[in-house]
Amino acid sequence: MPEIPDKILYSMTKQNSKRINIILLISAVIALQGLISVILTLKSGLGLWGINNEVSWGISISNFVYWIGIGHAGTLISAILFLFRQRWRAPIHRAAETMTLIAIFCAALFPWLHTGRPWFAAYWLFPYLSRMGLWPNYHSPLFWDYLAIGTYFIVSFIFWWLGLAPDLAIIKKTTKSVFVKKISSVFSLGFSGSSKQWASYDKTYTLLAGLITPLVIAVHSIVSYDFAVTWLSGWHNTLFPIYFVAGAIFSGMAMVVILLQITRKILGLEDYIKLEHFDKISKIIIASSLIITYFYLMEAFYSMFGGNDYEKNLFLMKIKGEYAALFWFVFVCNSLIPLLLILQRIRMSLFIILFISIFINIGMWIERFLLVITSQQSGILPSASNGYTPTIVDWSILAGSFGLFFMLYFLFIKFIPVISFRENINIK
Amino acid sequence: MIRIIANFEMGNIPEGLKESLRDIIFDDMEFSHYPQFNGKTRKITLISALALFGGLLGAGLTFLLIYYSSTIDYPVSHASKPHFTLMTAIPAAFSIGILFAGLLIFIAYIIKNTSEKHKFGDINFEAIYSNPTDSFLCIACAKAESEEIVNILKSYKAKFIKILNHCEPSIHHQVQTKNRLLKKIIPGIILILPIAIMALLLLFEYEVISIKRKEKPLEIVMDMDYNSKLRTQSENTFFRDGTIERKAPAHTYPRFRQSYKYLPFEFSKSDSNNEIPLPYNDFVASRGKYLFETFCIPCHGAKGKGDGTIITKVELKPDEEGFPKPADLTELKTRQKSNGRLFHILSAGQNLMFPVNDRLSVADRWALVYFIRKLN
Repeated sequence: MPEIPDKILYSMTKQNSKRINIILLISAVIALQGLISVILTLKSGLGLWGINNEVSWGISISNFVYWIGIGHAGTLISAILFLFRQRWRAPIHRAAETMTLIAIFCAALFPWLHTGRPWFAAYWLFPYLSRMGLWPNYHSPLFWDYLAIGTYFIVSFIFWWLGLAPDLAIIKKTTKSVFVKKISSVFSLGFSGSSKQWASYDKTYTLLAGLITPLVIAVHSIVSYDFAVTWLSGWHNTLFPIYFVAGAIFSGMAMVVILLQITRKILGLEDYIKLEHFDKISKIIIASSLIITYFYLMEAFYSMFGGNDYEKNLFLMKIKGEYAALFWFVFVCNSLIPLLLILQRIRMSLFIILFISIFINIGMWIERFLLVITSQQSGILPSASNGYTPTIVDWSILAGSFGLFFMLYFLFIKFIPVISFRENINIK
Repeated sequence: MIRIIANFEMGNIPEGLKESLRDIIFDDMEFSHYPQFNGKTRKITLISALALFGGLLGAGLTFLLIYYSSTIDYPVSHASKPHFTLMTAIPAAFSIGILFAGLLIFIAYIIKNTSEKHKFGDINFEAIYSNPTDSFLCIACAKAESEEIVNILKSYKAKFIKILNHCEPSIHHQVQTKNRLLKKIIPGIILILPIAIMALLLLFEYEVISIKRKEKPLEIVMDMDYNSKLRTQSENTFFRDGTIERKAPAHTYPRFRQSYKYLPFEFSKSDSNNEIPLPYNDFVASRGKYLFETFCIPCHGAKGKGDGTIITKVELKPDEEGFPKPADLTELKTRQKSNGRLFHILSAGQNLMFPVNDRLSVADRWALVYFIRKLN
């Protein structure tokens, strides 16, 4: 057997294990307090949230859009960059794919809880044969969402698992623990490494990458239909799909930067996850940031010159009204700060990239918040206007979702190789 | 039989290697670049065919389900066209198609990996993980002359040569014949399916276009835009007399209407009731005018000259005389007829003129007589 560096094979050394456990503990506590809020919500109902008749989609929907967006960057790295033969993706794609899976899981929690009676969700959404002629509403983008996100999760999971199979086969060969051997032999899908297997493996992997690629664009487009298909001013816009996809990749890439920086610090993988990777991710961030800025400008243009008074008033309210400070903060975070990355000197500094990424994530979350809230708040009739303030339960569930996200990610880091052996064995 | 594995530290297969080994090697040689991905194969393999099949299956099933549930089981009115709901099935069909394709190729991959006996066992791990990226492997089954092969391989700078003593020719040849069959079938499917899908779409499109043109389209789903109702006075082969106009059965007469006592040829008897039982006033005059315009104008014309549109309505073939000219109500012959005779003609009919006693009351008919007198 060739020697595989311990850093990759068992990234969890004793020293690392301590650091990981501390982070796991913190994130588990945060996730737990979110769980308490969820249980409270299930017990008492949605009255605990800040939503009301007019603003019926609270921050739970903006969280949903945010988390789904985070997922897209992982798929972009793992599938699209693979198809374009970008070999620099090799050390980071496993982490990014895992991020996708966890982010979809976190995202799916929110609309599920938002139904109020989550145990009825399958009854409402699953098209089963019923004697009463009772079917889901096929015209509703929410039904499309359900199918698209379900497909996205399952196919991403298969892709992730397939990528993991050869590594598990190696673990099976090298490990001394009987338990690990049994588990890895089950999950390595009978992989033995013969040339025929490699050939069919390559084909399957490439095909799956090709299948996931359209999902990157389709899933967030369908999420954007939730808004664009309605008649509310501020939402009814044909630019939404591409804007959502660009926003998803934007925030997702920033999240990848954050996760990778933590991962390489904790596991000491500086030799594998290099400055080069952050440099390239930064370039993708700049591109998607410019697309988003374009959308901001076009939104202003459509609203001011579209001939629709309601759109115009809504836009003026956004830039001058109650949420004006947030709006301009979002503009600075998403359109101006990422432009700093154009300078190479800034791209060379990991700390500044991390800093910018955190700002981008805050900015994107607030942007989704404004998108969901402002349009619902300002109805066309005076009676249809109502304020919205998220309650403490809302915030607690949001924090809980972040806790869950980091907890699951670090559990993954603890037990599964973050870097795929096959593509990285010869890099060093 | 022996099995040979060789590893080359070069970017490409050395020129002439295949030719010099061809006579000695039993099977085709396998050359593969490892551990690089070689996604460059253009052959349609079982897995890619399954992906296509799974995608179409998923999308097709979703379309069928949504078609069944929203146009048959519970027709959702979408501008009175339930099948327009199918347009909203596109996102769902897309998602489910990808889901099916992904699951199917994953399952196929697992079955292939676990069931198939691999000709070359699990030998490649070492080669794959111990060599630089640009190397590639040559694996082959050969007849017994091993030294010759080793020498040839060495002359091409093979680095890692391993000879094992057992090699089953196994199913390699069968697989190849199967592949040939697939090679013929799958391109056929790939060619036909898009055409079929396009044809289906065109059918929908045709329906939409012809609705705009107000022609009767080829309807996939009947939604009562065009139904097979019988139109007034049209021809119909169902009844023996060839027309859809039904007459009342014999010895019956309409309720609330008096039957007329004389037959058409008994006109001489009708002259006796010459006096009009109605007093003449404005209402009777206007009533007569209204009834004349309703029932008489098509044949007799607006001024009673016998020049109604009935003559022009009937298309003439070359040798036909056409519809006979209706009576001119203003000519002397009509003027000379008594009131009772006119009433008789209205009630019992004359020549081609149908009787109106089944649709006009006695008073109405007398009002008409007043009006005809006025025309005179």
